[in-house]
Amino acid sequence: MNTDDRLEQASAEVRRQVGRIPLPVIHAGQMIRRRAAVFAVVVGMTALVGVTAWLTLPWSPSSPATSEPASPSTATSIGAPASSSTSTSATTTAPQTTNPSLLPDVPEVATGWDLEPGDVLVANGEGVHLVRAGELVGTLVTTPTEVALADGTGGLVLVIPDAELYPEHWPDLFVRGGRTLWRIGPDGSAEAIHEAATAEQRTLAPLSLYDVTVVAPLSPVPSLIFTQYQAVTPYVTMDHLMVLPLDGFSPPVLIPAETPGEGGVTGVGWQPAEGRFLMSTASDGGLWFSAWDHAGIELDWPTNPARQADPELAHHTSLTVVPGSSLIAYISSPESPEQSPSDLVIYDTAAGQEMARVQVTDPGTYVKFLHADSETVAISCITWSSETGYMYLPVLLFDLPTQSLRELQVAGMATMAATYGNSEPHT
Amino acid sequence: MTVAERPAGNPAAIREDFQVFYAREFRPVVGLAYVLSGSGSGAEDLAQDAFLAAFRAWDRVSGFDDPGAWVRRVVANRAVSWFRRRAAEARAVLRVRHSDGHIPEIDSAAQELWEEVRRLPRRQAQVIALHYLDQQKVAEIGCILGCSENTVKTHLQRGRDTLAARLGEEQP
Repeated sequence: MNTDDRLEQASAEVRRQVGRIPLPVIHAGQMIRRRAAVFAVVVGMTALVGVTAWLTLPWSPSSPATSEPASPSTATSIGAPASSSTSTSATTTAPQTTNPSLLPDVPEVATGWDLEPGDVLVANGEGVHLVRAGELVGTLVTTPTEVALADGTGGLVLVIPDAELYPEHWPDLFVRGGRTLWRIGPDGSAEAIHEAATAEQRTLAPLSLYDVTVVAPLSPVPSLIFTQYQAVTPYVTMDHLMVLPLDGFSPPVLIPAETPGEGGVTGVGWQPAEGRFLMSTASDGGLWFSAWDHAGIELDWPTNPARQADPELAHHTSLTVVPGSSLIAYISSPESPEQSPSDLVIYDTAAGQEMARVQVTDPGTYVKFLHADSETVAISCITWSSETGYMYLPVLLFDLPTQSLRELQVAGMATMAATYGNSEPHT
Repeated sequence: MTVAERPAGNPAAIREDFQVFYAREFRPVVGLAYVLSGSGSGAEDLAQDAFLAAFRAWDRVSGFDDPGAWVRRVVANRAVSWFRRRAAEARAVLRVRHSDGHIPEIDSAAQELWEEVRRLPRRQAQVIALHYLDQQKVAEIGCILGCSENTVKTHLQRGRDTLAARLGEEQP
């Protein structure tokens, strides 16, 4: 049998098996439910204008990571989104009363917590958990969260998962979810500080957060580094690099780095000593790194370990900068992470050499995100199976001084708290 | 070549109901996503995401010559890079369960062959999948992928040659 015949036969087999899939009517139902939910919100807005939920959710210092999210009736919804053009405090209560499965518009925030250098924040389907000295010590947010970063002043910035991906939880899929950047405080406050404009033809959360650090040429205060996705056409996408000073009033600054889509930006960090952003970008052939100044000018980076797309760099994960040093961390995999293990690489950009390399995953496990403080690299891993679908795995921590790896008992997207304090003084 | 909008006044411009479109196209698109991504559950996620996107923009997408081409292009592009797309990965956040409708087990010979296809360069894998699995003509593949017919033919031939070499076979 020649290749042509084998392809025909293999195609027939796939068509035969796929033909047996029941048409998932759930999606048609979701679409109908969306319309019904939007209608319910409109009704709810009419009935509940002026009503604000000022409830308080006690902080649960021993709440396990596997606990169920708080029910909407006990949710804290303090503060209406500051910049939302469509959200009001009334709309935040409407979905909770019309359908208890809906997530709140405003993150549910516990009160009375604090952050210390070395803390690990783990975001997952149950919220944001605080891990201190290797132990889970509290749950700061009880709303499902995609990623949370310490904001440099004791609070957090976070993004809630995109509404479009989870329409069953959201009444209005066009304006909330992964489109809103939230800043929350230990007093239970939650404020929407930036919203991505609704972009047509996209199905992805437009906001991806990478780090909070002081980008001195732009602002003396800690700033959030993030990218905002834009669908230029149905088939051409762009990730815009943005820096948002967390001073409460400055707007985000667009860094006009050319970051075309097809995977787009996967990681960004700021090296203060060099005055440059280091960015990892996915392309067809793998991952490649580049350096940019704060004005969006691409810089020469002679020690760049991946100037051109490098298939040995696992293309799904991020580069991250180790604060207060010339080190970066990234993931390398000789083949697809499906087929081969992935290594964490610690690379000195000043010397142009690898400082450490350690295997962190087996084939079939994927590193989704890296984030570091001066001592530790947090490694967030993901896997999937036909039984469970996609699932986070326990967070791994790589200790830079001892070059040792340990595993936390919490799964999710992990970031190191208070990294800003190690990179540049907060003036 | 592009997925162009229908000219005004064309009788064929009567827009198809989304549900009809969805019912007809869902399974073939899942198949395409499956062979390009290698994941049954991931393939359904990818297909569903693409159909949700089509639904959102149905007023516009239904005006294209071939809305199916639009969905196939979205899926073909995302399937080959799905692990770096946050969309599919983000499902882990809520551990959305898709217990209904995973792709049944494909026989091992077919699995091995599609694994080889996935090892091909991106465009070659897309063209092979669209040509053999989805039974699209060269011109249609060009329309879906936004490239010329000659480019499609080149990718098709190179893909077949590479597969034949890897499988230790002679091309006819």
